[in-house]
Amino acid sequence: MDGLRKESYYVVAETVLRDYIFVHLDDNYDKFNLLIFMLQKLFSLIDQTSVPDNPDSLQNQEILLPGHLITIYLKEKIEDWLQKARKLLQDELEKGSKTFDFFSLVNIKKVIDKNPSRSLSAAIEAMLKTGRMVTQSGLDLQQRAGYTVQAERLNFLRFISFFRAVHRGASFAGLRTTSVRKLLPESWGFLCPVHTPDGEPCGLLNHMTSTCRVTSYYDSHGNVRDFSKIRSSILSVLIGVGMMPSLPKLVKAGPPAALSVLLDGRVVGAIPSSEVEKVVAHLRKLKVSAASVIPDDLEVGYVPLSMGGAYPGLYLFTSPPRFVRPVRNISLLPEESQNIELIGPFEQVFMEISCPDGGNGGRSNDFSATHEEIHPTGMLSVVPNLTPYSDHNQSPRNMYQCQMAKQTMGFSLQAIKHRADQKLYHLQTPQTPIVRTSTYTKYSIDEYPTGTNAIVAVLAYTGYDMEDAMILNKSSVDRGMCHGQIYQTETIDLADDGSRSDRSQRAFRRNRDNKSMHSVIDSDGLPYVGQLIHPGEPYCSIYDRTTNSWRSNSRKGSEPVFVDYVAVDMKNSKNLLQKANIRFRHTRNPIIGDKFSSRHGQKGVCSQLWPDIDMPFSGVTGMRPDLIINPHAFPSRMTIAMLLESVAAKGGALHGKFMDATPFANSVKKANGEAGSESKSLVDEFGEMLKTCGFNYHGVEVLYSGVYGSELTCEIFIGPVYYQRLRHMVSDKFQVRSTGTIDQITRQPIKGRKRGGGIRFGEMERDSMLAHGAAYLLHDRLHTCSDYHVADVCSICGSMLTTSFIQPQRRAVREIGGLPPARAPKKVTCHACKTSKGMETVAMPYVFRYLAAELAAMNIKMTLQLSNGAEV
Amino acid sequence: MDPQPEPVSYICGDCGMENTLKPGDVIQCRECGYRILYKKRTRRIVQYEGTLGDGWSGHVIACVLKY
Repeated sequence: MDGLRKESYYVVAETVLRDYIFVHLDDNYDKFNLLIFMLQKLFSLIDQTSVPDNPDSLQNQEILLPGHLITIYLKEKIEDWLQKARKLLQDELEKGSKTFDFFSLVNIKKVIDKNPSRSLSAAIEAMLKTGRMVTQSGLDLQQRAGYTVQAERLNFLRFISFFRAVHRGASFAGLRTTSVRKLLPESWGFLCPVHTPDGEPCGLLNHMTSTCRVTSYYDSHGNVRDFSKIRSSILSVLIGVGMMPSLPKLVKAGPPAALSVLLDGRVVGAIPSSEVEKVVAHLRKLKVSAASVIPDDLEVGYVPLSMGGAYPGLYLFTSPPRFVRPVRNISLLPEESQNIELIGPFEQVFMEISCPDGGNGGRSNDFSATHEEIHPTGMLSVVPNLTPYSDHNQSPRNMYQCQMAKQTMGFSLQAIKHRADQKLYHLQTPQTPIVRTSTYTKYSIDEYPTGTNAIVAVLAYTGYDMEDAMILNKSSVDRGMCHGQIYQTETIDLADDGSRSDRSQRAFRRNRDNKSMHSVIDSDGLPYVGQLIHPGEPYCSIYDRTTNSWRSNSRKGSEPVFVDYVAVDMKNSKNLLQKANIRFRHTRNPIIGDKFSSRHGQKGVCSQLWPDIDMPFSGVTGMRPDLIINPHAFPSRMTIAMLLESVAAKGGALHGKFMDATPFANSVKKANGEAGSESKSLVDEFGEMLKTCGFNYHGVEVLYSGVYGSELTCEIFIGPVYYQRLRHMVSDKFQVRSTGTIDQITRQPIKGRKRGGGIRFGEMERDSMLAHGAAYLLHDRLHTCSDYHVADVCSICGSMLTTSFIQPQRRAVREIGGLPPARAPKKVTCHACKTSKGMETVAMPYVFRYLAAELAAMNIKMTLQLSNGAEV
Repeated sequence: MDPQPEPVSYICGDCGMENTLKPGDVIQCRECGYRILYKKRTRRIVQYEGTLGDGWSGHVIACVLKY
């Protein structure tokens, strides 16, 4: 410890107690009491009268918020800075210079300024930018990197999910065991069981439920809460209801006679076991009432006496950052405003909360419920709450939908007109879903719609809807269904890049002499807004005054783009046009290969844009579907909700109203007290709706073949389903080449889509070609289309590196005769043999030649023995 | 020497006022002094080419934009 080297043992011991033992407690008696309590708990564990706490369960967890992380990081950085400043001052004092006066503020400031305080903010900025913490101590955190993610604005759901996400920690990602990823019942109501990605971060990256909150240092008015005051008022309430306080004298009682009471990790006293339940009920009542001093987010963790259960006691928590969520306290008077209680994950485990799930959660009457869930959908986070009738789906489908909702092209922003984001996806013709959950209205998702109500027919029509492919109606697409755009912004700041000298001398300007450029570049050196720019065409022209030279930036890529917006601004006072934001718009009409999905984890790829006239049509209405999917998508996936959505939307569309598709709706009591329509099933409800409009009860219709005009044998299930367009589009992904750019050394095709490279035809592909006996194709792929090379080899010495061309003499005769110069016969000689007698040409991969050269460089000679292949 | 380059119209990002600037002018709104200006949509004929992977292949539609 710093600065204590000369202190007495007493002072050192006091410091150890203060700084290292139970740092959350100030009083040494409190520390002693806590230690005794912990010992009792330990003995109980050894006696097997209690079980260890599970560190993976949400019950024993808190959350690390960005504010807290930044605070502790800043604290350490300030500490470092102060240490450094002290060192500087000490050095200065030890130097004993006469000019340095310790009591002069100016002098002190001068010395401390050698250690600039700017580094503090730079450290925080770097942490926010990279998510990496540079720290010696590690700050008791399990990871040093990966603290930040970029909140992508692909659509609103993705954006909001970033702010509801909770990560267990990067250190668990590499763990072999899967116990940390397990969905435990303790996290009910706090973490969404549906909304977690599958794959690598499964179960580690969770999302808070829509009702879950995190307690804060601030109250609802934004003032910092005084926790010591809160604690003392809780303490006085506890003493008022008969708690024996532990101070000034330790209470000797322990379980089972009395239960210890801990308030924020401090043993404050003990309550006789017989009294505890009354105390807890009293505390809960005070918690809910607005007038009391007890905060509404107090966690009353009453662990009852048990044999071999969790260690009993009354654990109270006031501090942030704990999860809390609202439930209804039904043991209190049913006044609406006064019975919503905030509960935490610790107390929830020992509480009796009934959930209106239709079967009352299997609760026996011996333990009557004291609390009640407000709505069963409270266990889901925002995104799965938007899935209609999600209680009718197989659960993995709801998880897939959560992932796909977050990669949907939608209406990402309201202010898209003014934004200059790097890349923005935008759906041109979004619609509001006919079938929606109450959450959709609650969170105003209408402001950020993500899909289109498409008329979906479920049939195997052309064979082009095999294996999750789908057929889009070409006319629907032409009318704008699912049309999207990608906005891509390029920021050009001439004052920023380049060497220091020519920074201020460059500006956007058009070259007056180069008239060919005038069709694409306006007289300010920037493109015309609304202009179509083809790949390779310039889009801005830059003039450098110092060198008097012109330069222009050209479009890369393979598709033409529109100039959507050009903004100019000026940073410096010189009257030069130096900074511009140019936003390009890539149009993305649905084409073959684009990905779509319904809201039920049913994704598919567009396989054909089928002409409208060839689509099947309804015999009654003449309607043609926008989209055809294959019936095989349903049996194994069991997405019944998608069928329900189709029927419901059909009914809703016919009656002109939106359909409420909130899951678990029929298990919740209606506002007027009557139970949900238990007798009438959903299907009955929709069937009646369809029937009143003259449609088939089951949502099927008689369709006619669009090609033959004959009636299809089966009646076809058809109805509107809300479809999302996913951001994976072929135009951004396709990779194709025959010949093209090659590697300079090996002369083999390069990789990378951007550079026009190829896709590797690797060993396994080679093996399968061999197994098929497709030798010619193999030769074509691996040799002819790759680094085919004809080398000259000297058959005498067997070398292919010692050969060289002899420059043939010009045939003067032909020139004189006025004849065009004939192609001179190639003359190759071997330098080693000094003759061109044994020269042969051999076809080989170029890398082989390269190998020979590399070997020669390390003094290994490679000789080829040439023979006619047939003679071997 | 060529004739003076034609001025380009911009719209102020703050007040929406139209500003016409020549090369060398200060990039600043004359009305409110805001320094971010948006370029106006061009009045030239923009030809929409039907080869962008949609149903108009083969056709060329010219739309004249006037405002």
